[in-house]
Amino acid sequence: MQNPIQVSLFSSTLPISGIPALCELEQDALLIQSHDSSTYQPIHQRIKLTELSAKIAGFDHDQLQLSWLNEGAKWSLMPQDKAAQKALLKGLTKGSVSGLLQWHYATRSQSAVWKGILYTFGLISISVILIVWQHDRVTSWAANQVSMKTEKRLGDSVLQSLNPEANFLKDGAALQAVKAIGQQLTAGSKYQYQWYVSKDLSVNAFAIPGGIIVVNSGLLKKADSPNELAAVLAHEVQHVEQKHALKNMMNSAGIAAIVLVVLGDANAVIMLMAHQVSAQYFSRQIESDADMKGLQLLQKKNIDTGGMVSFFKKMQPELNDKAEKNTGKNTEKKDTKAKSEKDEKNTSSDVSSWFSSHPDTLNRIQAIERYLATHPCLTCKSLVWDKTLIANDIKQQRTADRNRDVDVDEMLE
Amino acid sequence: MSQPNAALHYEIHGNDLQYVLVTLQPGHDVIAEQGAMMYVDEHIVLDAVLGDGSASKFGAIGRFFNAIKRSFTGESMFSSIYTNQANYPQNVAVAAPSPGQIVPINLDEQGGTIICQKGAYLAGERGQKIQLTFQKRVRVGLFGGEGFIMQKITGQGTVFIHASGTLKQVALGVDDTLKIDTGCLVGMSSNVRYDIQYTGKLKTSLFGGEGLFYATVSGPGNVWMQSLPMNRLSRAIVGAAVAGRSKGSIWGKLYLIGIVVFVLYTLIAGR
Repeated sequence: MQNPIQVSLFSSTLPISGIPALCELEQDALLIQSHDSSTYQPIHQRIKLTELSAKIAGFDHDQLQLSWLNEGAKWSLMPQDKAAQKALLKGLTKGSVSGLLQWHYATRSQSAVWKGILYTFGLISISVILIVWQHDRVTSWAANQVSMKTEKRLGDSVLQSLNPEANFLKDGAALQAVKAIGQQLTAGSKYQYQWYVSKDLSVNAFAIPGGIIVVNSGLLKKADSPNELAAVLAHEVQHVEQKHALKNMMNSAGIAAIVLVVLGDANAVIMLMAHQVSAQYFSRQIESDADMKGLQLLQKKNIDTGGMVSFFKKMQPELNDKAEKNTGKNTEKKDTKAKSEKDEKNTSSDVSSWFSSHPDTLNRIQAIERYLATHPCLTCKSLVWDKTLIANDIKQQRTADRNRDVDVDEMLE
Repeated sequence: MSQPNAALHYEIHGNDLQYVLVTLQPGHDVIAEQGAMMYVDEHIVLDAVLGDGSASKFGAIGRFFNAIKRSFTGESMFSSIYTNQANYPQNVAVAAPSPGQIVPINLDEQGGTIICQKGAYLAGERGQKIQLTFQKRVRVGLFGGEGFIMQKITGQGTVFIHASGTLKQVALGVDDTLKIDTGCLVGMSSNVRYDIQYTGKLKTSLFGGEGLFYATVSGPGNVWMQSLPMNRLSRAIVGAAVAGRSKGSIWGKLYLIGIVVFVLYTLIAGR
């Protein structure tokens, strides 16, 4: 026998907020007594458990309401507090009262809903943190999911937009030299490389996804030895092999997705800022990655690695010249600060290297030299080429172009 | 509308723009929402207290925290206590903040607790607690029209709640159920079960103007409803105030056009 449980009793004849009552559980029945006998007739009821029906009640839908019919009137009771409800539920086996199973199910599913919301939220935030933390791994995984065919199609469309007919050199000594060194570097690669020499005279070379590598004529002229060209090509080949362009795209897309998830709003300005920051950070990573892997490639193919350092050093004075010009302008205006000119020059050169498109060349040179000091290549050999032939080829093709342009102009007139 | 039996003596004046005139015995006090005062007699002293003026077991920090929680229920962080310091009865008049009705509720008759919509509390006897209660049912919080946060008023004696429109009290017997338009529910006693119910027909939910769900309340207990929820009133006023604004919702008509196009398309494609 259990202790009497405190409940509230409701009926149409009772006040709307119910009266306190005591309820006792028997084997197959519920005994209800009201102890508020001063204003109301004493209530004694014995209800069989089979006559009861359980329902969810209360604002939070966590209270138990037991209802029954007595002499044509509806009666119901609710436990007065949580402890009373626990005691009552303990006494009632789940199948004994109709609706009690559903009651248990509904109250449990309610907490399951909140747990579900909480866990989903937690899962999203944990995965966001994981992705941010391991973003390089995620992007390289995503980049590897892209098929070679897609990559090639992407590269071809970029190549078409560069207008190869008009802007690239036709077959000649220059293109043959690039091809010869490039094919030596990429023998055995899964990519089918295409080599181009652009008519552009600025010192640059770039890689397009899918194995298209374009070298500017300016770079060929600037390079003093084929080793330097090989170093640049090895660097660009690694951009292709490591799928850097794809990774960069994935990185931008990933940052956009994370900003969207975290802020819930794709504000264009925030997106742009996030993209800028990530692109700058990522480009440094990419460049140094391509440097190191390019060096390894050169050593694997037994090509002298000195070209990379010497070419970077050749690029360095140009950067310094630019920096000096900038500081020169500043110092002209500030004659009084002549003493601090030297300091200013130093800081300004640092700043300009910081912001240039190919950042911190000095750091890259140092990193390369450090690597070479620990990994010397004894079997590496120097390459040979005929520089005059290449220079002539470039000159000829460029002048031919100019003449054709003049012809066209005359025809138009 | 006087209640001679109740401990607090008050009269409610006005029809749609009401105020309640509370007569305080010497030394007695009444708490009202900040800024609700209309006038007080000469010897009434006004004091601002943090929250509802009740103590917390965590001291001042706990009281401050309770006040912040209270501010989420549409009340201000502070409330005003009006105390009669004369040795004869004095009057305090507290006005409703918007068109609507003030309803006195004796908490002793409601089992000590009622749950109201946000901002319903206007004034009451000292010792009553106005607490935040969170709607634990996700679907009710989303579609029930009252949101996830409601006011729980516990204590003894009389409390005055206010809502726009005309207020109606309905006593629900055991297992009695009312369907209410979402938003029209003002308050209920704590035993009342508050849920939502799908209107049942797509046509009704799209064009009936009542939304997808009804709120349902089932007894035993009392519920209070309002005839004109604030958002409906403000929509009507703003709609009338802004010139050139179309009366009906354009979306209702677009649905119709979409259905006509769809039916025509299926007829033509069927052939």
